[in-house]
Amino acid sequence: MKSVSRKVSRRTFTKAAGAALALPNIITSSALGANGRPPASERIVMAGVGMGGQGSGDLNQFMGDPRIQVVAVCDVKHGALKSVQGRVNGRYKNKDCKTYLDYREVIARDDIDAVLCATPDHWHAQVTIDSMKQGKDIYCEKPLSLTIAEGRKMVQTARRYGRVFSCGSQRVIGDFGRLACAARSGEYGKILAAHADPGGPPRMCYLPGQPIPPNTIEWDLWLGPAPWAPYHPYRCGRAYGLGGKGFRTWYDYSGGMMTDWGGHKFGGVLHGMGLDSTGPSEIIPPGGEHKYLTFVFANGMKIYVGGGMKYICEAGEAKPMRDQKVPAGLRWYEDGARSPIQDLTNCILSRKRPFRDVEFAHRTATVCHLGNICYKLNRRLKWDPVKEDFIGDPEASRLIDRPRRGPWQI
Amino acid sequence: MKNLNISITVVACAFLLQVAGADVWEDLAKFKYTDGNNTAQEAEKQLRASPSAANPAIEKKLIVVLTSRDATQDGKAIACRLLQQIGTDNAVSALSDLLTDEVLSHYALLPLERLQSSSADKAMRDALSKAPAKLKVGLLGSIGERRDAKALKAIQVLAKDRDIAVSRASIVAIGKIANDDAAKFLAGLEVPESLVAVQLDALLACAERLEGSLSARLYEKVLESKGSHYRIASLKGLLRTDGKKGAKLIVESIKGDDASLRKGVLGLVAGEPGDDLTKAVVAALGNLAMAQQSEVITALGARGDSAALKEISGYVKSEDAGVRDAAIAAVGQLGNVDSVAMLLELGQSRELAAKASAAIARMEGDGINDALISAMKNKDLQVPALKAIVARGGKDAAPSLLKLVNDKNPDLRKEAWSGLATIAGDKHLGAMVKASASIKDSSAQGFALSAIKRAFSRARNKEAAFNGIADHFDSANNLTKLFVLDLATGVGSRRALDMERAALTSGNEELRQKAIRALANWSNASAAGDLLKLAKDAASDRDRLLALRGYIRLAGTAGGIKSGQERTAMLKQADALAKRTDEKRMIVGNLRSGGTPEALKMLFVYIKDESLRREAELSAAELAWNLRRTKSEEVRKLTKELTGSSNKGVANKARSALAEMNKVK
Repeated sequence: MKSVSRKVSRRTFTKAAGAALALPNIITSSALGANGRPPASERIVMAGVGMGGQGSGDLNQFMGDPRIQVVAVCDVKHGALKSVQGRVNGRYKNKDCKTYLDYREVIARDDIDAVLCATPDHWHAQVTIDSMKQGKDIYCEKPLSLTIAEGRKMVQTARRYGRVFSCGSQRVIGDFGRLACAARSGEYGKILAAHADPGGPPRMCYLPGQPIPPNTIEWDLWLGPAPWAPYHPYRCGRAYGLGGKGFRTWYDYSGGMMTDWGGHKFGGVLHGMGLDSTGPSEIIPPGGEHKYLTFVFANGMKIYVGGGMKYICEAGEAKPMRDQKVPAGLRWYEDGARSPIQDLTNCILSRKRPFRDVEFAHRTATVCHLGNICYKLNRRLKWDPVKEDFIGDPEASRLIDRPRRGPWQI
Repeated sequence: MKNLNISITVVACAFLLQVAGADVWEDLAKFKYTDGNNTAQEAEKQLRASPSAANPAIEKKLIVVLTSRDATQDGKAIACRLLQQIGTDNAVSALSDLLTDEVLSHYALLPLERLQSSSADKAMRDALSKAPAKLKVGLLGSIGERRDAKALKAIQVLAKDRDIAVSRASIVAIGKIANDDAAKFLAGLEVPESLVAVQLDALLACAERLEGSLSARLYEKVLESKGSHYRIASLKGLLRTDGKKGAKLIVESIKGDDASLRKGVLGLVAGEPGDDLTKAVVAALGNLAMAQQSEVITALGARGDSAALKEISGYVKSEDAGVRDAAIAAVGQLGNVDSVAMLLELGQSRELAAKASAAIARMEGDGINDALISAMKNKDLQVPALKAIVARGGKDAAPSLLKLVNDKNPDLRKEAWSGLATIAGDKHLGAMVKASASIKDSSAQGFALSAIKRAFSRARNKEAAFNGIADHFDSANNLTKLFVLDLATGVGSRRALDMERAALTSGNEELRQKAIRALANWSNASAAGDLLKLAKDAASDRDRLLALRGYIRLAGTAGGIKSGQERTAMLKQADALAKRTDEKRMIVGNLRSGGTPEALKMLFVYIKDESLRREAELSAAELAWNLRRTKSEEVRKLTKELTGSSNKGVANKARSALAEMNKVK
């Protein structure tokens, strides 16, 4: 965080000087830290990139924290920007929030400490890696990545620059935390397996092109690192699910429901099973030995993709219990946070690694991607979670990453 | 095994024949997105369905698409996508021809970038010299990913290109190639201001792949830059290449004025391995300002290196609250069984009790619970030890807590009951009930009973857990007996039911009243007979009302009732006893769950009652819909009657049900 110093930074000086020139003697009490807010110079200055439904919702939560000051919003869709800008300025009762179509202009701003990335999945790696290279801390919506290799590069960049990086998923603890506590409580003996049912993989998009409605979207920027394709509203739509009307359906931009809900559900069971720093050693397609697609881990634990959310333990299925303590060794939010957004804010200030630290999020996303690859190839795969490569299967290894369209290299 | 081989061969041959004869690959050459046909999906589907043995034949077909002059751009793009999965050296030549095509260059890179083949490298190198600037950027990205050292010289030239996008992509690629030559070139490269960040990142990428002095030199070069995140990255790298030097520089940064750098460096203290770093930071701790001390202690706690424990333990009584609190928390992270006594001693202070308890709760390692249980024998440490072990969820402490529930100290008694509420298991419930029975003060006894209730709510086998409690019923006082009768409601076992029956005839009016209420809320149908009898025979109207309501509720919703007919029959019996409108209204509401024609007929009787018509019609419409698969003429007739209701919702629902009934032959 650049702004914790009480010394006058360039930004504070410019702001103060500008205010002094324009409106002498008027410095708002809010800027000085009244009403329980830290003074402006000590707030975490934040920008939001990707201001669709999820992004603007996240932004609202961040704005609810007095330690955060949102100053910029960015989206390649013109329509989203003005309304979000209006909300930000309305919240702070000023006109400081700027809008951008190109995130590169946002992250070039020295005054921004942290970036919220809620773009479609195919942009996550690019926006967050470029931002971290500019010294920003990150909140990135789940799913973390579009490919396994992207995720590893996100981890490497965060570690290289000592950035705090939290991935989204309020459900890992919010929805599935109690179940994890029960499974890890010892009441049911050792965990043998878990079930998680995120949903299906994406498919290729063959939609024909349509004319781009004027002043609606920066199409080439929306495509970004993905292969060039003609504009179609369903290609880039927000519609949820795999119904073919939103980007989550399509392979070039998303891992489908497998990664979308997988970020929550696999994230939940990997957390509960204590497997969120590793990966499976084998992935078995459904229909043969197992009814469900199955991940087998080196310690013998299994995750079945289907059949609800549950843990199977030595003494049966674990059920959430009243007065359940968080068992020793089960990771949780830092410093009393109650959501990943609050957790990130705490961690930006303390420089601790948040609960959904990028490494854990990457391991979760990897399970999702491995599932998709297994569905695609429809055969048993062996995986080395240390090298993060398939064993003896070059065809599968090719699917660990995808070439990125220039100039979008990471 | 022989049979298996034959099977595989047969399947592969079948696919080969299909590939040879299929039109989909020829159609792919003509494919256009705008045509809106399924060719691309079909091709993808065939590839997925084919065994690996068929891949070479499919690859040949796809190469034909790529090399065909007449093939469409969209068809070639799809062919590239499919080759991404199955392409081999054989496809490189055809793909390389596309690398200079404005649209298809990126598609050609899809299979080439991740193909393990030196000919793919050569194809990209060759294209780099011919491609226009815009495509060079994409090629440089792929060459960088492949770390093709043979391309280095050409890329070094492009790193100085006037086109900023080309020079940027070149510097990134050199950083990824990351051999000695790449490192030396990057270190000596002069770049414009706009590319400084790219160069610094490339230097770091290079340094991370290299070892020894060259790597250290790169880190030192980056360390000269202004941005704190670059300096953090260099310090982290230097820790790896020269641990002592890196640690020394980190300590200097902690002492420095740059708050942003200090925060980042503390992240390194928390997360980067190395004994040198622990030693250097611990040695510096005493010379830091207090505000910095607390930050550093927190980072050392997160670091998890117990070598820092002794030094940090010296700060748990610091006069500065921030330093003291950080030290207590850090001892929780680094400490072991030997640290327990120190934290318990701190926990005697009201101000520090919660912090010490939280720290102990976090401690890992053997013997900690045993140490706490042992400390509970010491009068001075009882409360902090009790709180700490409860915070740890230490179930082994339940017997020790049971010994404290009758202690002279009321605060301690209360803490013991609270603790048992959280940690007691099924096997402790009986002893808890027994202990609660001897409490004279009713408020204190109520507290104890609510603790038992919380512990009971966790029981996985409710019946067995209840039996443990029931064993002490006869010797318990009235308050406890009332509590047990209430608890029995959710258990619903035979023994629980017998206890309620006994209470009904006990002659104790308080227990009798509790038993009636408990039966009225019973969790299964086993109490239905008792309730019906009470509803018929009860002397007071209040008892009759409670029993009848309970009976109607069980008839409508309780488990253990085998059929709809049985439910309807039970409700018919209730109907005969119901006197008041609200009782009848309950019957109306529950009749739909019977799901029988008989229930529908009963509802029509209620429809005639003006005060019940609305509810009865709604229930009847719902029930008619549930009976829509019936062949019963009578149901059909009643449903038709409902279509004439003045309530539009009811009439519509009835019409829908009737339409469905008319489909059933």
